[in-house]
Amino acid sequence: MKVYIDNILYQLNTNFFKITGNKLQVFVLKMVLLILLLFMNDTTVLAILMPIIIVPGLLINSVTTNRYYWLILTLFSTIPYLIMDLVGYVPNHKHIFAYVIIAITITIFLSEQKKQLNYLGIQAKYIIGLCFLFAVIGKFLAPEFIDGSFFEFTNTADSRFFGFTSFAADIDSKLLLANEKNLLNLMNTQNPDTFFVLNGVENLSSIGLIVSYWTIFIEGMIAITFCLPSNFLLSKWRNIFLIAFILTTYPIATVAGFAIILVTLGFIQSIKNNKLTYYSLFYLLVFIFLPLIKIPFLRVFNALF
Amino acid sequence: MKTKRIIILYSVPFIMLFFFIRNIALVETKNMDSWMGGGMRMFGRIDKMLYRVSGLTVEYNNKKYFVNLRNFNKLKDEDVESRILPSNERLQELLEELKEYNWCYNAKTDAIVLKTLSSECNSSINTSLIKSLKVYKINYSKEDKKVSLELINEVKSL
Repeated sequence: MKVYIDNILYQLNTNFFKITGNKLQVFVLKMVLLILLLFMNDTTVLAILMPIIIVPGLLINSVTTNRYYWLILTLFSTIPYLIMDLVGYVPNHKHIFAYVIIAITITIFLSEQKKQLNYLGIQAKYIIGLCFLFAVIGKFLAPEFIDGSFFEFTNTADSRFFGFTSFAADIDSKLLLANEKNLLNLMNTQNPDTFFVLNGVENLSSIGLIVSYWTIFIEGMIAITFCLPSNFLLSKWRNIFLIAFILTTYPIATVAGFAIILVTLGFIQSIKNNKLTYYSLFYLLVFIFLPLIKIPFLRVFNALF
Repeated sequence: MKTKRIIILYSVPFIMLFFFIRNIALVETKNMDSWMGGGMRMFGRIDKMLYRVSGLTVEYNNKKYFVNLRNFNKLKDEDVESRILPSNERLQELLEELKEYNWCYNAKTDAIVLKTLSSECNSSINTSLIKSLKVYKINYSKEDKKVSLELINEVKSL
């Protein structure tokens, strides 16, 4: 198995990328552009303009690496995602899109070409580390997360978790769908005094706590290992923790936008000396197969067995 | 060269830190949704703008009506804005904006609705009858498993 993977890596590093950092750098930038093309369509203006801006970057290498091209992208991401972010709905992964674009622009403007991929890798590491650090601090600031009630509620009311919940806690999916409907009714209510009782929670109290503590542990370890300088022994485990997070989170919580940018950042920081590593291969495979998370595996499994 | 390196490596972490601190400040002082504003505090609190409810209170015919903004596609922007950051200043501004619309009473549904070509209206609502703008969050009680709405902020008509 290892020989087979080594062979794939060798083929990628020698034939596909020709060992030159520039080719790999173009590939990395195109991964980011592809994400922007797929996910940066929040408003009518972005939905129309972004394909017009991004497609040339995907097709022509000299455009992909052009500093002014990235400056334009910085403008188009900063205004909706960082400046107008409290006016419209801007989820956190859209902020990360803007951070990544700013990081690329600064790097292309201020550094020599041969060092750019290395700088991008360090910045990707910092973005991942800080993102998880803030997420963990945020969880400690939320009493409902610490006492497990956040996951009690979310697992039984948010349809993205229904596959996991009905599988792990043996709850009839009809009860979960009723919760979703009741929540929707409450959100559309004309009577703010109305309420409903959440179905199936009694099966979940211990699972809610386990999921809470696992989340704090894994996110905390990612924050520590990615924020630590690379000469610390613990930092050698950073990819293991990130991969564990990806494998335990995204098959359950299908948050495609966040997952794809996280995997791309993971890919960028895993490149060593302009060469792909085993970890790069994993991130690349997840990047390619990520659309599969749209398939509700656990629901399909439950329906079959 | 060293300055360039510092700018390259620390600009984005600095921006991220700014948004995180701003998130905490706005959540604690202005009722902002903790999931919003780039604070990376997702999957922490149950309360999030997607679940929040924002609406006008109207007094008509000696009866109080709650007009949920989510039910009017035309008011989507105002609804989202009020749910993301229901500060006094923003809600006051939005309340004045909302009062500019033509509201009316629909006897069939016993509800206050926006006056449109398709809506059935029995009588117009005078702006003086619009009393306040309220924003609620979802409250989940671990003890009795009840999910209800809890008032976050209310601004009254000037």
